[in-house]
Amino acid sequence: MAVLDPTSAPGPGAGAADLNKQRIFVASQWQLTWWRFRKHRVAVASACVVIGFYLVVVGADFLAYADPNASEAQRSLMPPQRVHWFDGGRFGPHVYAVKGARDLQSFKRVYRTDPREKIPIRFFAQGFEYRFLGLIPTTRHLIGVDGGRDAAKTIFLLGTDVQGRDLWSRLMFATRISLTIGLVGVTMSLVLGVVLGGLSGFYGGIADTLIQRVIEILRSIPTIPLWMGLAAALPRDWSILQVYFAITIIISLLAWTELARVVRGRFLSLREEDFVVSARLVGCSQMRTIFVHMVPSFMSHIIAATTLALPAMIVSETALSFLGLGLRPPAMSWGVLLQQAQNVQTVAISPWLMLPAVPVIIVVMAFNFLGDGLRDAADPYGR
Amino acid sequence: MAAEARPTLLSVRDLRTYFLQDEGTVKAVDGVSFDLYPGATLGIVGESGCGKSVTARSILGIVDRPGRVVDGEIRFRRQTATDGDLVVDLAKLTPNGPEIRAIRGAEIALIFQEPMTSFSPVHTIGSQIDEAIMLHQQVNRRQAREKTIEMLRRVGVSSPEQRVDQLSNQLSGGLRQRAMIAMALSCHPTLLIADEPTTALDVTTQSQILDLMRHLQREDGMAIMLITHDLGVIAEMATDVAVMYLGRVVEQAPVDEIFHAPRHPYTQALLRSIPRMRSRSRERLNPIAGAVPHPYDRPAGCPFHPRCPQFMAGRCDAEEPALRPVGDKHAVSCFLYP
Amino acid sequence: MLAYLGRRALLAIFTVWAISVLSFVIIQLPPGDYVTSYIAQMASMGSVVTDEEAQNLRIQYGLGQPIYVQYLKWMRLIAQGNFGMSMEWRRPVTEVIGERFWLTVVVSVASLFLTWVLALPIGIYSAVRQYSVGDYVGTFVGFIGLAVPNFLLALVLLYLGFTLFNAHIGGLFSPELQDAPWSMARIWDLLKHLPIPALILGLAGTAQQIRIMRANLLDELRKPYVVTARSKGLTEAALILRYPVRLALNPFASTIGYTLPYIVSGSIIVSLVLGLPTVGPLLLKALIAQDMFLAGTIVLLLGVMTVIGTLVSDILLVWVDPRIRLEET
Repeated sequence: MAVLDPTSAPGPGAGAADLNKQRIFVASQWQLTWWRFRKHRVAVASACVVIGFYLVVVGADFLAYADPNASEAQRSLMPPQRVHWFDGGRFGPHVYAVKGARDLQSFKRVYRTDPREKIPIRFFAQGFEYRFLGLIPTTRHLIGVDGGRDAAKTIFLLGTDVQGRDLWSRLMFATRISLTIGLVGVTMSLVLGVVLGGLSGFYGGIADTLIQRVIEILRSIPTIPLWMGLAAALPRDWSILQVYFAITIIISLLAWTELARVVRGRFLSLREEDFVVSARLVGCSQMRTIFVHMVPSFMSHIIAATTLALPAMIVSETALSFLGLGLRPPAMSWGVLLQQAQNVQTVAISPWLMLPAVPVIIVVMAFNFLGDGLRDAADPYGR
Repeated sequence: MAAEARPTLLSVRDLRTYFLQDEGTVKAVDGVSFDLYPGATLGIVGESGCGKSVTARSILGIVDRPGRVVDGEIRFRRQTATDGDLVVDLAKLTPNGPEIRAIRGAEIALIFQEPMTSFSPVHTIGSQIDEAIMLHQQVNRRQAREKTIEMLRRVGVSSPEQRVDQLSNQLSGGLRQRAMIAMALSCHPTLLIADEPTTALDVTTQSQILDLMRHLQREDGMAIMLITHDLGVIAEMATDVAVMYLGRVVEQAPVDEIFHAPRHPYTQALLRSIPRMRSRSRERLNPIAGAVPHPYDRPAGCPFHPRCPQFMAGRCDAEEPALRPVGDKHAVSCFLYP
Repeated sequence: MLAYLGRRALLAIFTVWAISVLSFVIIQLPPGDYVTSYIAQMASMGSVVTDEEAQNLRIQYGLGQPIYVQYLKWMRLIAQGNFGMSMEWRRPVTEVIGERFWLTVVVSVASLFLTWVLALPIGIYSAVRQYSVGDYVGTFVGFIGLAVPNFLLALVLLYLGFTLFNAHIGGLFSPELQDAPWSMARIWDLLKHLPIPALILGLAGTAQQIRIMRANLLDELRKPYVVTARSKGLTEAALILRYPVRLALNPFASTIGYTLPYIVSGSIIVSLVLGLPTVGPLLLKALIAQDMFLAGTIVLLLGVMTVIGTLVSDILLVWVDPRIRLEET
């Protein structure tokens, strides 16, 4: 379409619109990316969702109201309680007390709600003790009950699992672990991917061929059987933390290939660009050429690729734990929680056990939209 | 040139092609009118973005979405074997319908600026030319191939029997453009629209291709609509010239008059801006002041008025001038010539 | 072209070797060696392994010798068709795996096939009729496929099938034909049960391929050769299929190869949830029970199957893109 020439003097009839166009010329790459990103409403919404999830990670203790490990056979497999928001016309959220009894014929527990006993829900109530941000000891939680009652025994927003542990509270803590495993894994993949991809793309030659072949070999291997095998081989007596890191390493070992391919591709195409050649000719050292000239050009692509790699990591860990080969109780992650939902009979009776699947799906969608939006915004040839 | 009595081959009246986008409507072609006579060469000249290519595509109905021909007439004289001459309004035909498709390639052909990307990279040159032939003529594949080879030979492609089976990236730029011409002329159209056919070629090849086009034109008696921003090519090839600016024809005249007696300020400025071989060193160039406006920011009234050295306040920024005759086959769109 | 295929074949061989090493590592990882656990296993059943037998086993599996020797001995045993004994089932591994391996192949291939059959037309339609209702529907379904991990999808579908339709949609055969010998009826039964697992497995891959096809085609549709074809007088349908689709297929075909590992991988978990008689549930049980020869063999077989599939797709790519035939890419 029209050619904009900022260097020619405006003719007699030019207007203020031209000055606005000038702003675009002096904006930095980051500003341009941010402006383009802002236009993608879905991506921005997804970013908010992701931030929301990570706030949960930070404030898991605050958002939970019951000790996630407090098990009680008498509360096993309770369905979620209905929250009644209005009490006699005024805003007063409350739940009905639940009485449980064992059905003498099926030996299963059955629960009835008792509408006469109303238990008001309080915001910012007292509950079990924890350290906020790991530093400040406090007992305040987002929701709870007062009057000396134990929230763990009275509120069950999402029901309980087989061992009577409150699902909502466990979900909060599980979110923390699931989302941070993703971060640690992606960081490792990022380091491996950028280093190996960069070596491959920038130097070419034998290093490139070798790394390329390794990548292709790794890509041809079906990942889950391999992960299963490696995870099953972890000694049973390892601590949760050791298992956690081992799982992340195992997952990252195969996941870096995608990032390496992106990095390599970028380096290869950038190497031939005139601005890189001129940097070299002007006398920049290789380090300087790479870090000052080349890396900023594809930084945003890397960010986008990383954002897209995160959900894969999270799903991998969820899958492994779901099978019982990843994290194990008493560790909590979405996969560990879903382990209880493994067979149809259990789930048919207690469908709320499938609820941990919901955050998985939301997070994966959010990260995918976010990554797509970032990738589109980062593309210097986009509109 | 006593040509007024000759019937026109292509007659465009007030063509408007708009691109309707979320951010606004781009009026790529906003009231273009010109006439093209059989056997003549009409040069359409203008800066990038003035709507020349969109005009060409509007004629054949292949404007990219979201562009659409919204108004105007495109009267084309078809030559049928049975009923003699038949004039159709191309703008009114069903988009991509059987009638316009019968015209495309067979009666009006189009060649493009970039022959490399205008050929499919995975199909051979021959198969793409064969396809054009078999679409419009009742021949089988073998006969089509013979015609293709013959056509390639006619346009000056050496060893056409081998070239026929090659891919476009195996030919040089000049050969590719010749192949493209062969494809366009394979069905002997009456009108060839050439959209910047030599811009992507080096000067020597440029001259060869232009010679070829003139030669073929003489042999086949076809008309050429030559779109370019290069006034030198216009001087060499065109019989008539239409100067476009921002989607409108601002001046139309025979080629001599355009170069020696331009009337519209824009045409005059264009000619002034050509560097002269015999100018003294250190003599400044004469660019046209200002820049082509952004498509969403069209000036009111005459589109050239922000850059016009003879701008008349109150008139030029208020109304749009119409294309009016100022002499024998010379028309201008400017308030200087009411 | 031959050079290209030769390189791919060579790479395939290397990959198979790498997989065999990894499988071997998996076999060796748990503490203790095979023979001691074998003896313990036998003892728990009340039978005794004589010292001589133990010694023979040790020699046969090369235990006590350096790792690479053990690896080579294992390779030699495999070449003879001896994949070892399953400790849990107390039968040769090949017997235990039995037809499950072939069923895994069937499910994976069916899934791959379904991916192609669905992704291609939907992708083309989405690109040609951009922003239409069909485009949005296709994109939406695609997102479900991408966002919902396949095993969760399987779980949800099972639940819905069970509670809403009182139907059990898992399994590959009806109960009466489960262990029956092969017959036309059994094959037909299998075909009737295949679509749902194949769809669940392939949905994520389909979604991805739709996006790739759509993006590729959108890119190609903007290119000049499309305009040329139109200006020659071709119908829209003919020119779209003959030119841009043909070109958009190239990168598409090359990604098909990498969908297979993903499908095979996913089939493991999905089989578990749906209760399919494939290799997946067997692998999990073997790993938990530390039945290492069974587990390692399954991993090896899965890997080899994937590599062969990838090689086949590479051959297809050569057929589709003549540019590779003429030069190195």
